[in-house]
Amino acid sequence: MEPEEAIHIEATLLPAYVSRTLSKEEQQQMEEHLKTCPICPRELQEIIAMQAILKTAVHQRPGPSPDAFSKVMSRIHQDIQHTPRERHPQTTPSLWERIEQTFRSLFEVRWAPALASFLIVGQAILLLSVLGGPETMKNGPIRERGIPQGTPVIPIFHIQVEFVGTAQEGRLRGLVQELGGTIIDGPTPEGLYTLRFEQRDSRSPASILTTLQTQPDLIKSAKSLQP
Amino acid sequence: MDPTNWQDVTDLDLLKACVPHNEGAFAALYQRYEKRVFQYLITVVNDPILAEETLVEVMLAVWKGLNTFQGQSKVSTWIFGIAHHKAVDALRKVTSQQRSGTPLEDIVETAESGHNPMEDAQQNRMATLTNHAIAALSPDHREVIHMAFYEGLPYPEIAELLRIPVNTVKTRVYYAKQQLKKNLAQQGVTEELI
Repeated sequence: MEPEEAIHIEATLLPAYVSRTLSKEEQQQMEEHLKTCPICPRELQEIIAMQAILKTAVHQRPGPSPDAFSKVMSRIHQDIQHTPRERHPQTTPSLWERIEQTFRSLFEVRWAPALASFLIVGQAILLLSVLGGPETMKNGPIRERGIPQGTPVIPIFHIQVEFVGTAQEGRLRGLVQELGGTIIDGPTPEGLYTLRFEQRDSRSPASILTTLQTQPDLIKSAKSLQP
Repeated sequence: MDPTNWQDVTDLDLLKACVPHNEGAFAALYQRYEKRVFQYLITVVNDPILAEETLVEVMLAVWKGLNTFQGQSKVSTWIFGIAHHKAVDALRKVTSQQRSGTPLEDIVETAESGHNPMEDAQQNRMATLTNHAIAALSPDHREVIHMAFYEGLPYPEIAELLRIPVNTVKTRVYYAKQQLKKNLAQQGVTEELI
C-alpha cells in the first residue's frame, strides 16, 4: 500500500522520460510541461543524479561466481536424466542390424530383474508345496493369505494456484497442510504452483478448491488441473 | 544462422535457436542475461548468495519453459517475469527461515580505475552509501527502482512482468524514488551530491 500523498501526475512520468521510454507524443508533452512547471525541473535533476549514482552502485557490486553457469548446466543434465527420452524416428535398420538388435535384446540387463523375480517366486512355490504339503495348501491360495485384495486406492487430484506476492511461506504451507495437500511444483514461468491432494471422505475436491479460492490475502487464483 | 556467433542475433531468434534444447544457443542466452538477472535478484533479495541460488533457479526455469514462450511479450520481459516469481519465492523462504547472508550494502567491490585514488575512494564510498539506501527500501520499492532507474524498462513492460496496472507502476516508482531520496539523506548523501 502506497502512502496517501498528493502526487504531481507529470512527475510520475519523469523516470520514463529520462530513459526515453515514453511515446513520442508523451515525450513532447513532457518537454512542453517542463518549460512551465515549477516542480518538475527540480525533480528531473534529482532523477538524473539518482540514476547515475544507482548505476555506479550496481556496477560496483560483484557479479555471480564463475561456476554459476556450470551449476545451471549440471541441474539441466540431472533433469534430462530424470526425464524419459523422446523417441526420434530412425531410418530402417539393415538385416544385420535387426539380427544384432534381436540378440542384443536377449542379453539386455532389463531382463535380469524379471528373471530373478520369476525364479524367486518359483522357488517359494516349490518350497511351500514340498515343506508344507497338502495341509498347508488346504488353507487356500497364497494370494489370499497375503495383502488383502481390494485395498482402496486413494484418488489424487491437483490444483494450480497463484499465491499473493507478499504471502508468507509459513502461512501458505500451513493452509495447504491443513487441507491435507502438498506443494509439488512451482513457481512456473507464470508464477503458478501445483498442489497435490488425496481425495478423502472428509473433504471433496470442490470444497478444497472453494477454500483456496476464498483466501484473498494468500491466494490470487486457484483452479483444478485435469488429470 | 552461424551457431558460433550469437552476438548479432536478436533475443527472439536466439530463444528460437534454443528451443530444440540447443545447449550452445542456451549458453549464449545465459551469457546475455546472467549479469542483468543477477543484479536484479541481488537488489530484490538483498543477499548475494541467495541471489546466485535464485539465478540458477531462474535459468533452469528458462530452459524448462523454452517451449512455453508464446512470443506475446519481449524475451527480456519473459525472463525478468520468471526472475520476479523466483525472487518472490526466495523472499518467502528467507522470511520463514530467517536466513542471514551477507547483506547487499556490504558487498561493494573496491573500484580501482588507476586514475585518482581519491576519486576511487569517493566513488566506493558513494556506492556503499547508495547500496545501504537501496537495501533499506521495501522489496517492492527496490524492485521498481531497479527496473525503472537501472534497467530503464518502459512502464507498460514493468506492469506486464509484475502483473500490476501501469498506473500502479507509475505511483510505485514515484514513492520509491521519494523514499530512496530520504534514505540517501539519512546516509549523509546530501541533495548537492545527488
